[in-house]
Amino acid sequence: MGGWWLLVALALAPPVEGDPRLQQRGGDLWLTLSQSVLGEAEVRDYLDSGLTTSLLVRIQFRDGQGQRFEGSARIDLRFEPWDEVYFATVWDLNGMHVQQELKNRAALEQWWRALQLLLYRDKGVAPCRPTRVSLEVLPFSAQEQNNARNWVREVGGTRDGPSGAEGQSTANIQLLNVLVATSMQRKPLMRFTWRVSCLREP
Amino acid sequence: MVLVFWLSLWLSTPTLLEHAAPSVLSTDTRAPSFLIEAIEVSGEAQVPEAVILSESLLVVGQAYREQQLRLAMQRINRLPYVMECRFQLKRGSRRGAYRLVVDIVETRFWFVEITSNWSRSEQRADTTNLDTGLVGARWFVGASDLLYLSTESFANWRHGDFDLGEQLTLGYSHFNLFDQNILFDAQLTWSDNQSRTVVLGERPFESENGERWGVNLTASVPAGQNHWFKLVGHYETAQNQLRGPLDVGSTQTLVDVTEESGDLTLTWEFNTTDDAFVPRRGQIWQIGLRMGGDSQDVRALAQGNQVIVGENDDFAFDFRWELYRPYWNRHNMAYRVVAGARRLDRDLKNYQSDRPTQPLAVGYDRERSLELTGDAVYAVDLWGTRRTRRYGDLRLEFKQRAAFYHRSDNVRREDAVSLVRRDDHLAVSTVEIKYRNAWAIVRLRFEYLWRP
Repeated sequence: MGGWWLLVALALAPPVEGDPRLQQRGGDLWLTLSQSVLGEAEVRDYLDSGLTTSLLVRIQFRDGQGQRFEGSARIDLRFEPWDEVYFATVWDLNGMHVQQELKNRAALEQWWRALQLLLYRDKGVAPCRPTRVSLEVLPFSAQEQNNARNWVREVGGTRDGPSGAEGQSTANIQLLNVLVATSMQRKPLMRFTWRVSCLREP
Repeated sequence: MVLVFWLSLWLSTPTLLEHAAPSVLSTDTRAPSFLIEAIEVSGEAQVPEAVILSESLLVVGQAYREQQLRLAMQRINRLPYVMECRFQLKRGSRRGAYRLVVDIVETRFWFVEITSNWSRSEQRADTTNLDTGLVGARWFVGASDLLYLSTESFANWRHGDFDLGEQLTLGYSHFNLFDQNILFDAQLTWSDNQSRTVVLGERPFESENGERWGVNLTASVPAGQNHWFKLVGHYETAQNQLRGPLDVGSTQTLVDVTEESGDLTLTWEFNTTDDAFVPRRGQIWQIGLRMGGDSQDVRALAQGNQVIVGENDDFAFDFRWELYRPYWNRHNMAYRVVAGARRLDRDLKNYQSDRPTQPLAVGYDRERSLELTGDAVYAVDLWGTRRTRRYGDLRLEFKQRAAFYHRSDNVRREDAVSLVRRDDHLAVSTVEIKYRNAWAIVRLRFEYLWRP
């Protein structure tokens, strides 16, 4: 019986400060990343190496019928030693690609805290269930960088094209799947996992 | 600038993205290139800096793209003396120039490798077992020089056999021959007490008290970022005593045999794997040509006055391809194709010692064989988290092998020559657990041989 009480207590416990936060807004699931990841000494070493480090974020959950759903996003970070700035590039279901220049470590942490990733989209109401969140620290891959660059070029050329926003969104989701799938082909340097509850936003 | 920062931060927030089509705010379309003005190695205790630099193939004063630096890191990672390697770029003396810091974690100077192999086949009811254990140590004795010593033991627990120190190897490596990053390696090997079957002519002999000396010389020449040409020379000589069914009445006869063999192999290799022991991604291509020969001189036959002199010439072509692909989390697939074609020309003379011009019998004249093996391997990394990785790599593998073998022999008996052809195929299912840390490699393997 003691074990059951422990499980109930864990389920009712408020989220730990610094854990990822998953929020449902209508048909979308948004993830705010863990604050503690950037503070990990090993992650700092990778980020400050001057070489690109990719962070692959994934969620997995099951709906009330037991069907499994997944979502993913990718963040590339590179520190430039001469200017001591960080370059950040993000892919999520919005298809956004931003080469941000963050002025220093504090700016990086601030940007990280504010970053919200769209990881799942549903036409109706997205399931809001306990979710497994994983974050993998991956080494750089030139092939993926080329894929991303081509994608950026394509998106830039078609954003006003005849396909329209819906077609664009579908293309972005497909490309995101490709980017994430190729990212998985790299040996992760580090891996973090959490079990988080989903918060409904009114 | 603060305004630009907050503007870019605001643009990245979902509030805007929910309503806007995807857009590119600012894109760095240039692949960053880094001018390396100095390379510093840190973390090394025994491995000399020159060895790391030689393996990296990086040259001070040149600019490298990020992918080229990653490939250099992988090459260093594949060194058996390195557990982990990381690169860090730091400011150089002038803007745009960088110092590259190569941080390595070494393996221990001693090493242990244990393999336990359990095998069962559909043709045999019993399970056979062979365990091999290798213990060794290495010492760097100069800027680019390495001495190493290892001893290998064998055990068959099911039959109560245990041979300690069966083989000894003394080796020397130089990592930067002629300042061209050429690896040169010389090995002296000795083995004893091997009980094995030797085929002379058409008949098998049990070899006893064989003492075997060998020399291996290797030169590995880098031809690009991931290409090597490898030249290997091998020479071996043995003084064996044979016990066998020689045609001297019904008496088992002991004869002294001098065996000599040597070969020369030229191999081209392309390797992009990310790890030498548990690669997760990358490819290996190998194409090799081998030319060799061996001779057996059975002159001291006791009562029979027979002399058997055999000389064989061996030509072989070998091909190997391996592909490693991760597909989900810690799961991995590997595909391997190995092909080999071999021709063996035999020149075997068997005659009475007083009639050297009248051969008594002659066996195979020429053997041609073709081997083709395909492997599909599924592997899962059992210790993939950051908390357990420091204790080593642990991997579970399931391997399915299909092998085909074809042999075509010209057999000469007296004056007639006939062609004998044989085909065989085999499937092997294997389950293997691998473990590696800074000083040990352990493999536990179960395999089942069957013919589909």
